[in-house]
Amino acid sequence: MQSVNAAFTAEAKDRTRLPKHALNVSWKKATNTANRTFTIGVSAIGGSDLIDLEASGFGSPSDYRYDDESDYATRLEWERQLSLPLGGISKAGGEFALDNNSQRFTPDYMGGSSALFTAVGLPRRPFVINAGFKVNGVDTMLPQFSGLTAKPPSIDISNRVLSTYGFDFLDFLSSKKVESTGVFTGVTTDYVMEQLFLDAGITTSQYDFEQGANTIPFVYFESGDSMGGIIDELVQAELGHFFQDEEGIYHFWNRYHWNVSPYNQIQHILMTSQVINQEINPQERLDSIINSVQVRGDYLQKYYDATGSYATVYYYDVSDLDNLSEVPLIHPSGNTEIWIEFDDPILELDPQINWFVNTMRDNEGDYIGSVGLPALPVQLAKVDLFSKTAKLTFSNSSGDSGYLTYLEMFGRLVDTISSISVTRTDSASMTAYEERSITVENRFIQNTQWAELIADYILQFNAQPLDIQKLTIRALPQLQMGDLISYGGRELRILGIRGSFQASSGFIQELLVSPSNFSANDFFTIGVSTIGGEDTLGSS
Amino acid sequence: MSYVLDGSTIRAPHSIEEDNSTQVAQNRVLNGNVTRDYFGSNKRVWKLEYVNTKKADYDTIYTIYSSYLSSGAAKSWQVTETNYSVSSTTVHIDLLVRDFSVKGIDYISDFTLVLTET
Repeated sequence: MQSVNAAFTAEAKDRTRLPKHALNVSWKKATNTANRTFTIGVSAIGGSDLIDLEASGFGSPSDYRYDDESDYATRLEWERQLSLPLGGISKAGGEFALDNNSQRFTPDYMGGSSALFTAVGLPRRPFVINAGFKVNGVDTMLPQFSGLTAKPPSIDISNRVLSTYGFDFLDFLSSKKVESTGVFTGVTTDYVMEQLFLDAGITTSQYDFEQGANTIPFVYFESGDSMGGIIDELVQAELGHFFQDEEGIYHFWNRYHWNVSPYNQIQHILMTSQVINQEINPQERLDSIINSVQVRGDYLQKYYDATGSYATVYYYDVSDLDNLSEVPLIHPSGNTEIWIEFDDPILELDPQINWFVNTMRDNEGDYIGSVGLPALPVQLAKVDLFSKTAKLTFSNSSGDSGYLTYLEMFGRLVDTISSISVTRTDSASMTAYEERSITVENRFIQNTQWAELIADYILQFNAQPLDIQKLTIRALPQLQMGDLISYGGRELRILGIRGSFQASSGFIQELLVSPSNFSANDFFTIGVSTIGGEDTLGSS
Repeated sequence: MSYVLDGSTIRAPHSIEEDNSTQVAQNRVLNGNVTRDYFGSNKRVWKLEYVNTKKADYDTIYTIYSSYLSSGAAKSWQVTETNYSVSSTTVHIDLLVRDFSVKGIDYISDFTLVLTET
């Protein structure tokens, strides 16, 4: 829950409130690394400094210069929700509508001539929504959403309205490609994500990661893989959550997040005087049940040959080829790059590579290159290793072309020893509700004990209905996804929040809540569980 | 003592009505309380009724209305009567039906001038 003072809380609960909002849009997407967080007594009202946003590099809302469009806003909405039951990335969304009677937002191709006329029709414009109340005569607002528009806004000329929607910066992260191949052994989820963020230029001030519960024996990904896809798999492999909060900070929660303070304590007591409506959808209640879980992964290990030395990871001999046209050509008087693909990821390559280059495709000519013969004109100049590929650069100082007729490479590879498949069921739930199954398949689940733990955890919280309810309340902008609240004498975990700020319905929120607080109390957790307590050891 | 619209003194109306216009969302919560969220400040709306008005007086008002429509800019509005005053503010202008209720060549008319605070 965002911090607020007693006066703000009192105003939020008052029967008559004066809601206040701020909508800032960076139509021209001009970057400004000098942007500051709004500082009372220093920053100017209506200036470029941003309220409560963290400055950083890539993917940060505070990178941009904004136009204050608050005076034109007619509707603001935003929402964020945890991904259940498997966790992973949770993206937030926001939308807004603006009054266009002044023609400020009419683009050039529709006859507009304002200062924004060339920028307003472009996609992926950053925007920030803050909301709160007038408290003791001062407009006091909290960050609610920051992100990028998903597409150019729709402009209704006759009704003089502009509207658009967007997602937070995680949407951008999802499409970002990893620039370099990564191979890690025996690391936790958070370590891998920190390396990804480091490579992407995201500073440590921009994220807050809990320690991953999963120690992964082997992690590998290729250059060009989707960064968002890797993070989603990593986080789902331990049923954690990854999201960007209202202030633009990226968070990773492991599945023990709910066990520790302050998340295991009630953040807010919700009074009936704040609740407009309470709903439960019986079908959704049934749909939330999972009573049969299959978890699949691969058991990997480092592969050595019988003597414990490097194994052969690639072998090629022209005598094995049926079609001599496939023999790689080494060009004369210059460099030739040859790409090799491995069947399994390679942890390490032996520098000793055996190879021959012959003047004839069938190896019946003269040798013009060979390992260990530096006097010959063709040499292996460079080897670049990626996880499942390698690039060999041959240099040829002669005017004769050659053919690579033999290649043998050695190294340590990651080999799939066996597949993991764990199935768990809850017979009582299956009797009551019929079988409702889910299959979890994840390359970062790499041992049976971990797969069993994942299956048991999913069953623990999903074999019985989650009893998810929707509470429509007079907005409390300080509430956040994941907060534990009390209502009607019951503890409820906020799984999702949808905020709406418009004159027709007021400043309201729809909270998706569940009586299940998702605390993994059955498993011994260092720093949480007590020696001699009830939590069980033995899960990795 | 006068009614001043866009810097020009206009004829005093036969009657004037001042309404308050608030933007409010009202909800009834589960314990029965009625709650309200007020958005923005109160905006006043004046309805000036003119009866048996001479052409020249109508033309003065119509000229201001035409200027409002062509420029798209709100006009200043102020009232300084002994027992009723409106501090200078800006308004949108609506000039509704003009009714020629009195026969003759002078074209005396009735009309309603609506001024909405911006």
